[in-house]
Formats: sequence, C-alpha cells, structure tokens
Amino acid sequence: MFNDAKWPKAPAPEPLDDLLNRIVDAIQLTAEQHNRAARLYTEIGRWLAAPGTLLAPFSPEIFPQGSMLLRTTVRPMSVEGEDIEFDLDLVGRHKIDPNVTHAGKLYAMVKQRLEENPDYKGRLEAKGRCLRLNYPDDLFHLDVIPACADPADAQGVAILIPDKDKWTQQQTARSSYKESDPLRYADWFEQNTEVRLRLVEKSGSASVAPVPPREPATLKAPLRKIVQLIKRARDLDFIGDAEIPSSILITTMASRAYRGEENLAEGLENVLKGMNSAIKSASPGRVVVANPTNPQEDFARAPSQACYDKFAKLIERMSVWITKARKAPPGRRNIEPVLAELLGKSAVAKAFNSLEKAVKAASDGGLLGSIAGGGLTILTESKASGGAQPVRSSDFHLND
Amino acid sequence: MHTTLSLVQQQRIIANRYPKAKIWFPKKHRGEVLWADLKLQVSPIYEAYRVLIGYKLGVQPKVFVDSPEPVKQAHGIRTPHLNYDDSLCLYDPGKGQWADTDAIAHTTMPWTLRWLFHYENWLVTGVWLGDTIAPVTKDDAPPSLPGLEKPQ
Repeated sequence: MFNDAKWPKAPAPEPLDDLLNRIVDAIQLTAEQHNRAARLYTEIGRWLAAPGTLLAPFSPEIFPQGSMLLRTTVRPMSVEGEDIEFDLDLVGRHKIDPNVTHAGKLYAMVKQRLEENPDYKGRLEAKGRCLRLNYPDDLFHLDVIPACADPADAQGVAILIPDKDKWTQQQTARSSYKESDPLRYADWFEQNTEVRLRLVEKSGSASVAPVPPREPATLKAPLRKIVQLIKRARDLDFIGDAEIPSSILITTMASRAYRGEENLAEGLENVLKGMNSAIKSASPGRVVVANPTNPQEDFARAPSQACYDKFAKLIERMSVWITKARKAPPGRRNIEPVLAELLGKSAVAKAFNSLEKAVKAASDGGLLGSIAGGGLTILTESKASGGAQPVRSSDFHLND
Repeated sequence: MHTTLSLVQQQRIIANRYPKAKIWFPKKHRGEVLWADLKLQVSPIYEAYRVLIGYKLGVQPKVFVDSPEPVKQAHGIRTPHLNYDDSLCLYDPGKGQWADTDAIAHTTMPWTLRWLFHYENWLVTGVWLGDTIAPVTKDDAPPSLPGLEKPQ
C-alpha cells in the first residue's frame, strides 16, 4: 500500500514569491529585447559561418555562452545618466590547431570577416579577448569570442580563447590562448538548478546553435531567478563604478549556496546567507570561488580589493534585507519600500502594478475568484474550483 | 428561480463562507437589520482589515472598514470611492447592481476585497484601477436608514 507520509509535501506557497516572480519579469530581458538579441546573434553567427567565406575552411561552430545560455539575463537600463548595458557572448569555435596557429592570427581573421560587413564594421570595437559589436540604441553589445577546441579535452567540449594579457606579445602559438569551458560551466549550473542540459558536443561542421528561449519567471528554475535578482542589485549598487564584480562570480557563489529550495523567497534568503557566511569566514582574506570547470581559476581573485570589499558589503546588506523583506508587515505600502531598497523602485513598482493589472483583467474577464474564508485569487477557468468561486462583476446583474 | 433571500438565509451563507464572521441582529431593529463583523485580507502580502457590513432587507448593504481605518486624504485628494459617510462605494445605486436575491457573501464581500486591493495600490500610486463609480455625496444621500449607521 502507498503510504502518504512517504510523499514529500509541496511547500506552502510563500507570500512573496508571486511578487518576486513579477520583479524577475520586470528585470529580465523583455520578449522584444530577447528576440532582437537572438536575431542579431543568429545573423552574425551565419555571417561568420557562411560557406565559401574567409572562415569557412575552419568550420566555425557558433554557440552562445554566459547569461544568455544560463538564462540569467538582466535587462539593460539607464539610471542617472549611467547606462547598464546587456551583453551577449557569441563563441565561434574553429577547427584550427592552437599549437600551430597563434591566437592573434585567429583573432585577425575573425575581425577581418566581421569587417567585410559594412554594418558590423561600423559597430566593431576590438577588445582584449573578443570583438565587440555595439548597439548603443538598444543598450546592447554582442561579444564575438574567437575560439578553437582545446586539444587537451578528449570530448572536444572545452575551448581555448585568446589570452587577453598575452596574445598580443610575442609568444608561441599555444601560450597565446587560455582555457575556457563555457558549455561545461553551463552544464554544471544546470545541474545546480536540478534540470540537466545536454552537453553541446563537437559537431565538427559549421553550425549556429540557437539561443535558449526566453522564459516567463513562473516557469523558470528558482536558482536562475535568484541569480537575476542578485545581479540586478549588483547593477544598481555599482552604478557609475568603473569595475563591477563579475556575473560568473555571483552565479558560481549562488549555485554553490543553493540547496534546491522550491520557494523563491526562501531560496534567495538561504543563498544570500550562504554567500555572506562564506565571505565572512574567509575574512580578512577573500573567499575562494573556484571555477567548477577549472579549479585552478578562482573567480574571487579577479576583482580589485575595493571592488571585492564593496561586493562583500552588498551581500551582507542583502542577506539582512531579504529577512526583513520576508518579515515585512503585510501591505503594499510596507513591502514595496523594503524590496525597492535593493532591487530598485522601478522594478518593484512594475511588479505591484502588474499584479494589480492582472487582478483587474481577471475581474473584468470573470476570472477573479474569491476564496472561502477571505482572499482573492485569479482563476484559470470561470468556474468554481478548489474552494474559490468566481466573483461576479458589479457592473451587470444576473437578474437583468 | 431568483427569490429574495431572507436575513437568516444571508446569515447562513456568510457563516458558511466566512466561518469566523461575527453576525448579529440588533434588537433595537427587531430583526430587520443584519450586521457582520469580519476580517478580510486580499492576500498575505496585502493588509488585513476589519470590516463591518450592515444590511437591511431591500437596501444595498453598507460596508465600513473599521481598522485600520481607510486614509481619508492622500495625494492631495479625498480617497476616491468612499461615500460621504465613509462607507465604501462598491456599486452604482442607480444601476441596480445589487438586488436582494444576491448573497452578500458572494457579492458584497468579494467586491469589498477588490475595493481594498485597489485602495492599497492607490495609496502608493495615486492611480485608482478599480471600478470608477462616483461615490455618493452628502447632497445625493438617500434619507438616512435607521440601523445602517456605522456601529460605534
């Protein structure tokens, strides 16, 4: 016989979760921004991989990396005259031998291919390890990262990319590259969200992998949303600063602190407390945040001391703040200001306004439900279910 | 099909739907008036209010928010959709939006919840997204209805 006690009970719905989901919807890329970025990515990818062109002999395989692949994007914004841009990383993996071909040569070829397109040429900015295409009107830039497969990886998943500190100097071909493993990192991150992503294995032929679709917050794994919320707080806290703590530092720390919580608010609190105590116990030194795909690399080494200290303070403030937010007395006037302290007034106001509009639309459409004992809910069908009963509009009368 | 619901029928439906509601019939009005005293909260992130609902057969129920008392003035204006006597403006009296065949528990109470929800948002935003029925002013006030004044 089945024993009910064996089945885990669904966690009680967390009051703040609906609101936090709405905040995530207000801070992640809009569908329009996402579609535009995905279209530009595809066009540029096809340009680089086009048959019969400069790079074609090296069978470029194009795939996204970073927040677009991890689905942890944060919407660009302008605050007090400062722009926070959104970036999309495009990796072009080429069939070349890194022991023979210097990174500078690969970089120059990719640059040349981009310059063959007058539109790209006008947008091109040569950066240390990548070629940036700027779309200032969209507060967006796309980084093209020239890469090749790392021969040391038998599976052919890891890549080598130009080492920005070395490749311009006279070096042997191999030492002009550094290791990177964005797909295994994405896979590791996926495992932490408890949904596995298939490794994109080397296909060996020119191809353009699609950008993952945009998901509404309600369908998104909590860890992704936690990362998005912390990244938004970081963007606001570091606005106008020359240096900000990297997204990969935040993403890796958050993934390690996440324990699979289903409730977003609870997960966010546990992650922030976990990050804070990791930082605290390493103090006065720095926390070690090893790259899961390359333990030699410590993401926490990268920021300057000032940037690291400010980041540590932000995480400490956030870990106090989330507890305060979860315990805030009910009422929009009580909860909104607390959430806005670290997530920004505009996103939090948008979240409440979207809730109000959803209730209004449900009411107008006969989908507002009243719950026995009190409370309103949005119904999926205009009939009673689970103790909720549709609320009749006050504007028409059944007896008329 | 649709018959007038007696006060006792209204009481039963309220008690069934809102078991914690306190319901009484003031002696002074010889059982012609019903009062319900209950807590209404839209959702855990919105405030809980103590609401008093007075009903006399054939007259649209009167709803008062007792505590926390609604703010009377904000954004430089009087709170919209609050009638002259501080009862909530839930329906247009001219349109017959409520009839004595309606169960208070199924109409007035969810409408009150909806009012409270838009009111709380209005306090922050200054924009009233709810129904925009003009509140009753002192000049259009119907003759006073004994028994439906807000209990002290």
